[in-house]
Amino acid sequence: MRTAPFVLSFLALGACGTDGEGTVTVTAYGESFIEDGIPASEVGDGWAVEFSRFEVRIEQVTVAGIEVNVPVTVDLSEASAGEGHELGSVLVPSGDHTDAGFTVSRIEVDGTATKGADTKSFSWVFDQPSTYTECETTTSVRDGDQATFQITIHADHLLYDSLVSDEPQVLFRALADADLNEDGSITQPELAATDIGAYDPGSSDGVDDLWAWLVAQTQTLGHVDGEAHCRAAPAK
Amino acid sequence: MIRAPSIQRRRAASGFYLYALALQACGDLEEVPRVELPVVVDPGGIERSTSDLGYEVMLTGARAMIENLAFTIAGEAHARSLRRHVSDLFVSSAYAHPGHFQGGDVTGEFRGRFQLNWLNADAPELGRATLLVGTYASANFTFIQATEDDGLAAEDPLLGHTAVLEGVATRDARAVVFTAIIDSPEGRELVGAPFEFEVRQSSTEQLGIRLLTLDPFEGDTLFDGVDFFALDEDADGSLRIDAQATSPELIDAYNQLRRTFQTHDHFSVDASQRK
Repeated sequence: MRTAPFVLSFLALGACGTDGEGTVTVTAYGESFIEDGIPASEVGDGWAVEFSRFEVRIEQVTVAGIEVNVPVTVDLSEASAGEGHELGSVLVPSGDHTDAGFTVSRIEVDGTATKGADTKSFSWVFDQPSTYTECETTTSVRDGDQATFQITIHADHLLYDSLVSDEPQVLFRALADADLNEDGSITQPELAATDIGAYDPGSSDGVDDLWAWLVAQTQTLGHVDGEAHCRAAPAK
Repeated sequence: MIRAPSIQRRRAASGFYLYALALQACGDLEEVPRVELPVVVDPGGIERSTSDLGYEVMLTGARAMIENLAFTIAGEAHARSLRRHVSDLFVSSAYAHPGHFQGGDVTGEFRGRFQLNWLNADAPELGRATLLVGTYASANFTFIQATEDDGLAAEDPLLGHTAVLEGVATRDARAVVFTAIIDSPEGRELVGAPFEFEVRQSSTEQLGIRLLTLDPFEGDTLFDGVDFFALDEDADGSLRIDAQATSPELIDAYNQLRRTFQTHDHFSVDASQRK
């Protein structure tokens, strides 16, 4: 099992034609939206959202063609002083590395949303794995130095009103209205029983209820190094 | 948290030329074979169809505004064919982040703003698309909203909107005449309309843009979920479905219809010999 990284390293070194090696530290960061919450000013209909738990299972992180050992889960709601949570590190050949990737296999989200006197709580588990490949970032590693590869999770995508727009609105009201029994808790069955309404699922059909909507949005949360995109797809 | 510019959009805009250049660069600097084919509005996809609620719907008018068709040789496309199992159909790569590599390589295009009038027997040729030789899989375009610059009269109901669908829904010997006016979001792309055609240097076919009232793959109709009689609250046999609706039922019907209309299930581009 331990020969594979060596072989991959050797191949990568050969491909780049560079000398030396450095360390890449992999982190996961939910930005202020997860650590501090999404303020009402960022939500089109004035709801404010806070996450008491935003646990993400990240697997199969690959940098410079080498898979990085990472812990099973990380709770991105815990404060990280803007640095994100370190997941692991790996020694790689020096040079500029692209084509990083990772898998988000499970997301567990607990939190509340508030607008005026209205408060809604939610506790959702999304266990549909998503793969992120061909990430549009370059991790530059110098001989003997350390570089960072950050997996950035964008929680505000859960509140997007479109799966395809370049400029979606960030909204919560539709989710709040899905609290059909008005007990203050928005549950998966309630979301599954609620049509997506004016939300735009794009050119494909098959996303008609709000639970399916959230599942679809969870497959867009992963980015790298802040805003860089990856090829996202449901894992096979 | 500002979203990065759409990769797909950038690709659509420049991909055609980049692809042509790349092909030339990789080859012997020979001109990449390309053809120009006429583009027309094809009424062949509009047929009397029975919705899931049992309404027989016949369109009497069907117009839409689109711009900038792009033809792709691979990619997200419809990810389906009649031979594929239905389990393969659910979401290919469609859940990718907006703009995340959803399109295939754009090797053909037809740029400009176009009013598609499917039930106008005298509809003129829209123009000529330029396509590189190759085997095509899908077509993309963008929904837009009509303006007076598009040549519409001031009283034209399409003005300011994306589509106007007029027709009659019949069930149990009762009929409702309806007008549906659809407003798509600004810049809303439709990705993956089927366009299965091999373009050769000798190709002379015309490319017909179809609105499909019946999804040939899944059997869904454009008006599935629309309960015409229930929506006609005053039972006067006339109904208008649009974004200005105020009743919850009409709002739901509008959202449902717009959602269905904006899927690639109800559009295709079909090549046929010119008459």
